[in-house]
Amino acid sequence: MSSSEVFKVFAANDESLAITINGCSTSYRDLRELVEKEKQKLKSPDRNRRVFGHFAIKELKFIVRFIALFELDLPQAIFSQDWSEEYCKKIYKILGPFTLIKNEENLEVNSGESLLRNNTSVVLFTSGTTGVPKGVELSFENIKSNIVNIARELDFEEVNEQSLFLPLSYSYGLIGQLLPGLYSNQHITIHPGLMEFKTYLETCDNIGMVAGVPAHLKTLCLVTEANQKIEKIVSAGAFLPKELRLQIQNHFHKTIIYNNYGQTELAPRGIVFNSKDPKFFSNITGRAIADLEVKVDSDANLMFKGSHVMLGYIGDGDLPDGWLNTKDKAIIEDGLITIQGRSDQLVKIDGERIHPLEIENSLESLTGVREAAVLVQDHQVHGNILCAIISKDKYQEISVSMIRDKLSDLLSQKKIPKIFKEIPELPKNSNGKKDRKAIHSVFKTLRPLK
Amino acid sequence: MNDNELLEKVSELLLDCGLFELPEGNLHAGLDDYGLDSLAIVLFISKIEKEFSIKISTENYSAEKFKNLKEILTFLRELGVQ
Repeated sequence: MSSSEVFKVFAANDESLAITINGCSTSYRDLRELVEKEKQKLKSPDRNRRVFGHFAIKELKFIVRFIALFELDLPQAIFSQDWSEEYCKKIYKILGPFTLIKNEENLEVNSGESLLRNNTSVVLFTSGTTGVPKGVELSFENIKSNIVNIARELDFEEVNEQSLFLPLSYSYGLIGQLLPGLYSNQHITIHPGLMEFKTYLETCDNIGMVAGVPAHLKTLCLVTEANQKIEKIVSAGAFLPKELRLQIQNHFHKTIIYNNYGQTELAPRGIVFNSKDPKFFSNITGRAIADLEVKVDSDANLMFKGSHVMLGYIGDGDLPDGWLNTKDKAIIEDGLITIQGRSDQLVKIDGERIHPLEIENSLESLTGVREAAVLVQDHQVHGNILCAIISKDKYQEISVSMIRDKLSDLLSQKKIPKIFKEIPELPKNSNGKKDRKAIHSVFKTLRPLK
Repeated sequence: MNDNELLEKVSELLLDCGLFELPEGNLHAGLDDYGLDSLAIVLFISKIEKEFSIKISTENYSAEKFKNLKEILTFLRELGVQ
């Protein structure tokens, strides 16, 4: 299947609406015209296979450019507007030579040979767990399989409308929702954020499909009247616990709920499950998608192989025998997969995999911070949030805003703790190491860091 | 409702949105340092809409209006909360 066949719905004579952003609607016919014009601009026979980097903004021009590059089979890297300049520099270094498209200008960044594999189509970045982001190389086959399989498994064609408030720099937003939606000829309304979607939900008659991370879906249940306006709710970023599945069903009657599991390395989905299944209201995560092979290794790590699995990380070797180790512990019974936790100390917050030690190390690298501890606290909306306890250096001034600024150069936004508290000295055990249990128990008694 | 009563009610609603605590005696302290993120703001808006029978639309909404307690109280007065 060629790229133009993936987007077969972009028929030149199709007047139906494709995308609405900021109140402006574009038909499939107009989208096709814009994509063809963009392809003419981007074609450059003398510099075949150059890599393009661009920011995923919620504007039509980004979507047009993404599709044009995809159809031209030119590799592209997707950046987030949330990244600080320093964080962008880290990303640019990992990517190697590329053409940065910014403010409608093309800038050449870095030089030398491309670091990407020959068959890389899209590069998305994950924040990594050691302070160094990772570039996930996805092939045309990865993207195409995701579009076709997801459209089928999540019954995209059963609904004509989709509301999308997830960021487009997020694999679930772009590849997981927008592209299958366009493939399925949906009319996709793109909202800046949850607040705008809440207002839209209050005023419109019907919402076909909407996707959100569990915290979004929980908030939607809390901030909207119970209603039957939403036909399909899709989880993104992390799977839904049983209690939240029930809460969503009780609130949005008649809605079909799709539970998902995946990661950017799976382009991005690996497991789906929906509320039409009699076993849905349980802790079962779901079934592997389509042709994906799934197994657990001797340590119960969940592993995937098949068309959704990435080529590899930039600069790393290929995956051993094509198997991706998710490092999530799971059991598989009669094809039903249940995730049971992590094999490392990672926690997942709003869809992002986070290692508290990495954040502690970043905090302790800052001038003015003598010691730091990062802990995860239960939270009624997010499920859990990151909190930091700081012991300040006596001779250096440091404030919460200074810490936030400096951390945003080192870490992605989701890794920056929401709450900072101050302590003269962190509790230690007899070996002089941080006493995690004692740190947890004193947390609530501490005063906020100013 | 006088300013102190309004502050007390707003504080109660904020704490009900997942914030562990609030700045004491400082109306200008940034609430993001206390965990008021974009999701908590949406939840807080829903609560104040119900509590004060007002409607906050995307036209008169901006995150700036929720950056500290002073801004919130001013915004609520502008919306006609008595």
